[in-house]
Amino acid sequence: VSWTPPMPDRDDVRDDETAAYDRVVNQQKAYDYVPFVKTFLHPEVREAFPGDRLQPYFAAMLQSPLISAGMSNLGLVYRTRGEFPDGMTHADREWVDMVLCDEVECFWVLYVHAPDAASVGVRPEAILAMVEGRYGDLTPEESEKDRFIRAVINGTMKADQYASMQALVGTRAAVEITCFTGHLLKTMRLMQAFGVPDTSREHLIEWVQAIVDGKVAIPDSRARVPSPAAAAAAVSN
Amino acid sequence: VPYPPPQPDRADLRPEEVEPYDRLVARQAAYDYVPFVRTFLHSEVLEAFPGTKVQPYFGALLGSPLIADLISELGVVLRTRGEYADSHSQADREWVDMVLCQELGCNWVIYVHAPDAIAVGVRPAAIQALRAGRDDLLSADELEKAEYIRAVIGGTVTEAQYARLQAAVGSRGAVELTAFIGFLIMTIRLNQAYGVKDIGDEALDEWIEALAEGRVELPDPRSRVPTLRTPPSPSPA
Repeated sequence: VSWTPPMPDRDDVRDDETAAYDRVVNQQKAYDYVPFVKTFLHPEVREAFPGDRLQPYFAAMLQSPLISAGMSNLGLVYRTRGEFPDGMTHADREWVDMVLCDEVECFWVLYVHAPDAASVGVRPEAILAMVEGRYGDLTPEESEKDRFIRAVINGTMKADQYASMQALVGTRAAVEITCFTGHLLKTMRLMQAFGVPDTSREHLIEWVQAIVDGKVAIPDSRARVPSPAAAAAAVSN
Repeated sequence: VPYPPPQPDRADLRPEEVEPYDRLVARQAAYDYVPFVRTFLHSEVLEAFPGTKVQPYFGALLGSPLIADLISELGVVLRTRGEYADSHSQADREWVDMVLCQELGCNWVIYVHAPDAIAVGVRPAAIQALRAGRDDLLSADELEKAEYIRAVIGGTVTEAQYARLQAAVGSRGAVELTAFIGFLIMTIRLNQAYGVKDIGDEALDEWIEALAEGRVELPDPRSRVPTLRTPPSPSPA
């Protein structure tokens, strides 16, 4: 059952919002998900993530284009932090996606991001272990990051836990992993509140197993990484 | 290891980060909290919210200035939604602050926002009822919105619940209020993850009692409704 608010018609948008509206539509189109969604094994995932048009979440958010643009810009910036040697790596960013979606049970986002995660270096076997609840099969580093992300989600962070992450990834990357976790928590809870339809854990496990077995084409690791210059321009505009 | 992560020195930033850094500092200063924090009855609140300089939360976020600026700017947009007839009210937004911070256990934000909340029409007795866990003392409208806010936090919003919110605040208002709830979930969890120091229950309850008894001067209800930046321009072709 879905009650996702529909995308408003551009003609109904206030004058001061049309530039933001257009920007969100263009930013989302630029990710070019059309060939990617054809690889999905479970058609219901396309209800949340159709690929050939704006996804329902951003369509709903476009009821308020300035808010939607702010959130889309944040996504753009987060995706580029791994381009800097002292920033959150792309693998860490995708690991946040995996762990957070597992924690808040938003399966379709994990489904959509798992191939990107594998393409930037997340172990498919680690994703499978997590979605199957075999947390003991994670490496010590995966496990530390897993616990860190869940501590952000649940408000249970301790000073020594933060310090340990900072020692592992650096000062700036620790700040970025933390705020990306917050950003994604916000995003997942909004999707759930807007009734974006989900897939099942069973289908998610089948999908991740297929990735582990090499039966799914993994996207180019650069496919979803915009240029840092475009991200900086989006902030300045 | 300093915790919360300290505000970086401006001289250590990458060139494209200087403008966003300066913009955030100026934006936070523009709220002019100096006279406001002088009304506080408990000096420990100043650790999280000094008023005279960038608060530790934004100081930590400035470890990655593009992200910090976008988050801060999104806060501006969200604070202005109540200025439009087709959105939720400013009182609804402040009610989110009260309910959500109570739910996630962040006392200092309740402390700082309670005067603003009362100034825009939130009942002091309703805040006291929240603190005491007495939902039975809330009005029907306060309770309905409190339950909705809790459902967004927990990822349990139902279609009927969303429809009731839409009926209460309109289609656009429902999207914008929900977006604000998501934004505040992010904000509070980041405050906690960065180790921003909280205050105790006793100080908070004393403060709310003082507010309820009219012993604290309330801010002008317009004082925390900022001016938007120039609307974003279209992306270059």
